[in-house]
Amino acid sequence: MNYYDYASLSRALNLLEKRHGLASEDFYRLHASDDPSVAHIRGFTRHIWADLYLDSCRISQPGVAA
Amino acid sequence: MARTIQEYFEERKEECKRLSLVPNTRPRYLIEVGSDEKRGRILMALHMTERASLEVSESVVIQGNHAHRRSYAYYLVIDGQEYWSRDYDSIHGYHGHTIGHKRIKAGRVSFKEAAEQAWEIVSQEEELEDAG
Repeated sequence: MNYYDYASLSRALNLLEKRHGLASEDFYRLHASDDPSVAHIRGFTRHIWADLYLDSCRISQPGVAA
Repeated sequence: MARTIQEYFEERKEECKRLSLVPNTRPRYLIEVGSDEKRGRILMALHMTERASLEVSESVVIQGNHAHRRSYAYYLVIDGQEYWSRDYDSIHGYHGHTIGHKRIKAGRVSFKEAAEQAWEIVSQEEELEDAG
């Protein structure tokens, strides 16, 4: 069985950031406001990216983004 | 009822078999470190036909004897295009998408319901293709 933690979430986020040239925090803000500048990113990828970002926030700072 | 995330994962694997969904690549069933096996993620692409697959993401937490999906995304991809989806996330709540990622209202669906709807769409598409 495989596990994940803050470090592995961060690695996954780094890959997405490099691929799309956008910091996760900025992506999340744009995605949450339906900004068209991130509309070219596949919907499934957007879902995962936002989800992983929120999870990394929750794990690093419990209670901030539960 | 799943009492641990591993039990939930096993239930999902069995459900995939019953729904004739086979992973395209190695599926990822992941447990969160330090969660006492109460939190986890599923990430996988499931083969449907030569042209269609179902991409799956779930974030799950076990509460008592109940598995709660904190978020999910079930995306039907046909000929490389995101054709239909059912989603749940903390930003947009329960919703779905049609071709071109147009967001539509949609209620909560189980994985099984999403897969059955995806199969229905795929069979309709193939009938249309055959008729054309």
